[in-house]
Amino acid sequence: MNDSLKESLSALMDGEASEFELRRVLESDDPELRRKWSDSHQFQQLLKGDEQPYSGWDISARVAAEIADDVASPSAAGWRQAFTGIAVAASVAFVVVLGALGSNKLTTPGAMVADNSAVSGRVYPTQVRGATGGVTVSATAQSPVLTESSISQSEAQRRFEYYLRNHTDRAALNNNQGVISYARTVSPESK
Amino acid sequence: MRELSRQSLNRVRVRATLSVALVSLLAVAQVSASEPASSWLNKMLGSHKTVNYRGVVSYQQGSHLNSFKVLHIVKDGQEYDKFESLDGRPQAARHQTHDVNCVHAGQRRMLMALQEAESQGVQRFYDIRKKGEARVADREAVELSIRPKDVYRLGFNLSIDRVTGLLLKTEVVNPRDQVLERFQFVTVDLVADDALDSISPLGLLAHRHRANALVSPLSPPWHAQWLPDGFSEANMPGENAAGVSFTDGLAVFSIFVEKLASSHTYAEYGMRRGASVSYSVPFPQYESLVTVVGEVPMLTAKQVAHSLSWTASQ
Repeated sequence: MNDSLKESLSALMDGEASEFELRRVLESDDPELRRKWSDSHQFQQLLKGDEQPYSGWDISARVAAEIADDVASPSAAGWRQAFTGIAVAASVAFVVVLGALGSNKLTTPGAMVADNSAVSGRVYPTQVRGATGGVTVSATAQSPVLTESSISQSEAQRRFEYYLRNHTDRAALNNNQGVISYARTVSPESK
Repeated sequence: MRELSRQSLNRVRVRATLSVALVSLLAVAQVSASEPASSWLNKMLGSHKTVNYRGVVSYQQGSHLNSFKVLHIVKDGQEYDKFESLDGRPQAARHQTHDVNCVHAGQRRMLMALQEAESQGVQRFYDIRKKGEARVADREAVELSIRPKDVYRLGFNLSIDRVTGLLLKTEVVNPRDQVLERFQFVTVDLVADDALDSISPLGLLAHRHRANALVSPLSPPWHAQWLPDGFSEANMPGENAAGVSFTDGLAVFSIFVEKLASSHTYAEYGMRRGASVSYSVPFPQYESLVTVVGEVPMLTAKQVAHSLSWTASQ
């Protein structure tokens, strides 16, 4: 956990976090941060003498798991899914409610917003074009220009099958299920 | 009046006897519900090394259903497996041999869970309960429900053969209790070990361990800075394999790193089929693409992939 994250977290705990800091904490998938956040909440409640009926619950982990579960596949149209501030808050609320209902019918990709570079800080071709012609070039644009492209569905599928076979060679010896684990490596598409 | 009081006394006595019986019944039920769950796992673990069987197993994932012929024989200290696809494009049967005495990290973890205190191994990370009885492949089975205690692994419903301990049915479930995939024996016959004659010895693909490995284990220039609690390395010493695998005794995932031209990079992405997921993250500064594959939630694959770190010498 880096220092700026730590500062953001303590600001958040003191109720003095800016919107930016809140976003930074929410978007971090640093497990140490999650633990620290939960610990400081419990500590605060202990100091206040509050009861802690749900102290064993790590809702943030559940939420993170649900969000990751809706991960982009290269086939989806808006497949590079990341979240901007409001979308994160909305998704979090959304998923918490859904988790409570025990349903995932509503978690469609439509609830997510495609990344527009602000979050990841990466350089995209459109931005690079905009930065030519004597316009002041920002720090990020000076890094090597990476033409980020989505890989084709077929390449992604090939890689998945290849690694799944390699993985299963070892999984079959370790998952106590043995040779029938290889059923997983027979791609239904390969027929 | 006296008659009446005797009647009520009798009634009280009956009631008392009934409740004593009920309490003792409950006590018995409680013992058998909490204790045997792990002993069934133990029995399952041992069955690989003792039971010879032939059967047909189905694998269901999404709307797909595939069937496979399985033969498992233990002979002369070796386990022999033959695994044959029965539908779709014809594929060569898979033959495999395995030393009975060789214990892998997954089994070690599981054994640890069963022999040591609950604070260790599988039971530290999963709730294991006996759910009831079932009939699978015309055999009597015991159903176990195994649920993770955190968000980094999946759950299982296992049906274990009452007599032999064979794993007859496995369902892998997500945190919402949705079944992601199902392995289920359709038929299973116990056979003698001379059924092995039907395996051509030439086709055998031995799984060997290089005890004194000539190839020193090339430890990769990268390592994962984050792993979910309870996962330990599943690679064998001296094994010169492409990736590094980790297991907690039930779940397994593997990390693979491939070269990627620095001139272009992919955005990260995930794939899934059945209980298996993969998550790929490019690390352009190391000209590498990291892919984590396994039967774990997408979150686990993603966090492990993101946590990869290269040693300075690279």
